[in-house]
Amino acid sequence: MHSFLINFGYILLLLNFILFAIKFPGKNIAYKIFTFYLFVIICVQIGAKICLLKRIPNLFLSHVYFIGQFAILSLFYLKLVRDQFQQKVIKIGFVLVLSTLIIQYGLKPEMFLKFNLYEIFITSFLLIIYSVFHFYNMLDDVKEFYFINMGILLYLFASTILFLIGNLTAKFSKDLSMITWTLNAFLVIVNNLFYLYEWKISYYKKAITNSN
Amino acid sequence: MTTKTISESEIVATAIFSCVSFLLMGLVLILFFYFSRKKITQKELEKRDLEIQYQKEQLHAIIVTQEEERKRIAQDLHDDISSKLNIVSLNTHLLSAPNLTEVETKEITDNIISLTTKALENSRKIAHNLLPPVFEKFGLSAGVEELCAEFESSKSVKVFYNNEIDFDENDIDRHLHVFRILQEFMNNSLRHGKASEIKISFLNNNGVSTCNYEDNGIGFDSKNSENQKGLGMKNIDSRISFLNGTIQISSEINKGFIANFTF
Repeated sequence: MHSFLINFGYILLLLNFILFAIKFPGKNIAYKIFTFYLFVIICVQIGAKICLLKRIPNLFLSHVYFIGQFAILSLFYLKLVRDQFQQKVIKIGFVLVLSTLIIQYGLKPEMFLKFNLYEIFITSFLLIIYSVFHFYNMLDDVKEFYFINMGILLYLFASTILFLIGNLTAKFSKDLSMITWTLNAFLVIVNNLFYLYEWKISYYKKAITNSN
Repeated sequence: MTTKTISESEIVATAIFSCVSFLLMGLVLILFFYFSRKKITQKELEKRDLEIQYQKEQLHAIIVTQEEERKRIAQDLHDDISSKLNIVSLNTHLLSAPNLTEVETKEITDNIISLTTKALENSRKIAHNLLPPVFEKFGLSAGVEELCAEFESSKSVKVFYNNEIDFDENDIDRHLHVFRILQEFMNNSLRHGKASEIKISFLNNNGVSTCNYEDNGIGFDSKNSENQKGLGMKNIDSRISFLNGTIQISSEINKGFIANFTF
């Protein structure tokens, strides 16, 4: 059950990346950034799998995941929002988070081998704020990346807590800790279904009408 | 394998981070709700302001038209009736003067008779212009027919009129608006468009009464919004909105003028 959910999540992720990559030409920058985001996530997952096979601890990849996700999605939202204040918040947040994390890892390199609570919290929380910015802007504007935004927000809300307790679950027995990670795998699937739905709504039909 | 123990500080740190993150997420949601409400209220206010602005403009147009109409009626009364009755009054005074010869009396009486006839005719014309009796008695179609005949006889213009609708007499209040719109169009065609041919037709389009109006005048640029702000056009708009209808106007310079409206 557990491995099935995880693998199904991976397949959906790969499918999403391929679908978004197919419609890549001629799209706006936000779309391209999002496609790149999917690509990076796939790389992280493949890296984690390789480490697992070679029996190397792969927890350090979580930092690549959180920081990479934060950096790329920050750029994504920066391209989406048009309000001056919101753009400023995103830019400041970007610089602030990256600089504090560099300082933190400079001072305590051993943090790299555990879940970093501050990192998880700050990157997820800022992305939640940006996602809410985007929802706010969409109240009276065209709905662009509506379902992607929904998926990101839902996933961040739930997964943040799961990652925050990650250091604790790592010390649980394997059976118990699997429960939380199965939950996470389920969330990944839901998230990817949102991406898939967005692709179907916004890009699949347009391609058909264009070809007619 | 070493037994894994969870240190208390780790649990506390996790708990604090979880608690704070829930708190802040809740805060974000509350702020989102607050600002969204603000935004929506503001949009609604803007919309209402626009509506009020539009209503004000319409009211303004109505008042101005009313004043113009009053001015026109006053002028008509003054020029065509008062002036004539004045002379009648003078002549009657002359009549009461002593020592009038028979010829003089006859001359004065003839004068009075001709002047009163003219005044009478003029007053009938004024009343007729205000509300044509034919329209009132025989309905829209007859009214428009008479209007066309009038335009043809008094002005150098050919009017083609065609009606396919059987108008309901109970709707005469609504038909008056249609009549006024056509009157305005025809006056415009002559005054501004210098048209020599006008076509009017009433059609029944799937149960919707439609009127097509066409002339061959000099036209105007209907894309230029300046041309749609005149008092006449505003009045037509108001009447159309009274009728719950729609209107489409298209015109190009030197290509005549076409209007379709439903009522």
